[in-house]
Amino acid sequence: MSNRIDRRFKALAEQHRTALIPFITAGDPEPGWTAGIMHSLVAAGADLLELGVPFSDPAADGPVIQAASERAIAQGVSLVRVLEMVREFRQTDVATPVVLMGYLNPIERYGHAEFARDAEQSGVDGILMVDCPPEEMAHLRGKLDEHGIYPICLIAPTTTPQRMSLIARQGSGYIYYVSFKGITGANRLQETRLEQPIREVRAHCHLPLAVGFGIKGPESAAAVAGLADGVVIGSALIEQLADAESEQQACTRATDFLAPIREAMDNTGL
Amino acid sequence: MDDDAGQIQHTHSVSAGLDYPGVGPEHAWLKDIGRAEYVGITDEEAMAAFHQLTRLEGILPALESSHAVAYGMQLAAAMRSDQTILINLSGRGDKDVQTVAELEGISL
Repeated sequence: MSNRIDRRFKALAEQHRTALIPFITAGDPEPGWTAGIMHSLVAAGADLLELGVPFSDPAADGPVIQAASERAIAQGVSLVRVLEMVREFRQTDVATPVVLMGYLNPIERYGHAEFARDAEQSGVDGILMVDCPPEEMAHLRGKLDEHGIYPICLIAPTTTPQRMSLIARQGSGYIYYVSFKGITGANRLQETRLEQPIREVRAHCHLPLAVGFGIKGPESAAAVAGLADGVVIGSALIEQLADAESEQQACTRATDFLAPIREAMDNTGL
Repeated sequence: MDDDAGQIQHTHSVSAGLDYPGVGPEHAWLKDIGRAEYVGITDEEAMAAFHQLTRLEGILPALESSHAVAYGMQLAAAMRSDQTILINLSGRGDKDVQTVAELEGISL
């Protein structure tokens, strides 16, 4: 089965380009702005969008994304609402893959089958559930498969080779490699130290490899772009959007933030 | 302990180890198969049990364990004197002395 994620990574590979994957928290800073911000990110060069589903107990998120989630939850953003945002985005963009990133409990509440059905109808291509280990994924995975939605899996620096193989079998679309032991947005990324672990992951997983956590701007994005198939940027972008006063301003900031990163990534190796 | 959207609710307990909105799979299973029964104890009941065991036995129970002591005392009141209750004190209360002092306005 092929979905937008496969098609996008295939097209990028043919062009020898690395996917730029911005992450924003759905509904932050204003629920009504999210679809507009997503369009601005695409216009500035995003290849795939990760949309954070706000959750009250985020285990992997640093302070920036936690605060964004809290702001969104305070404005009533639920999983239902996030799917509406994707539907709104899809009215004018049917090509850019959208991955929901979050935690399992809202999906447990929603119901696996109901969620998979509604997510497909909204135009979601993949879900990345931080707290759903591959061993526990079977039931949800079955429902996602019925609707062509990919489970995206994480691999961390602490993942053993045996688990990498298991994760490679369970995951689809791409592997999200967590660049260091820590939380999102921390200042711990050392690009030069990624080479060896990325080689190790690639030996076990043949899916495209996106790297996230701690990538903050053009320089780190370009360095990681030389090693990976995708670069995820979340906290640094969300910081830009947090205090925007209008949708227009949020969209301008998103574009201004992302465009130089795109440029830096495309210039690596030239 | 979650709402309709699956967001986890805030919790409160005087003991840090119980101030958490989750239940481990073993406990969930024991409850579901009817092998264990689970009851609630208030902060006040737990604090009273903490003092009682400390005064009567010289044993400081952890505030988490104090909940068990409190329920043990409730059970005992309805039992015969030749019946035995076993309470597992899961931790010691030395770590909670600061908390107890703060709650009761005692300066250390």
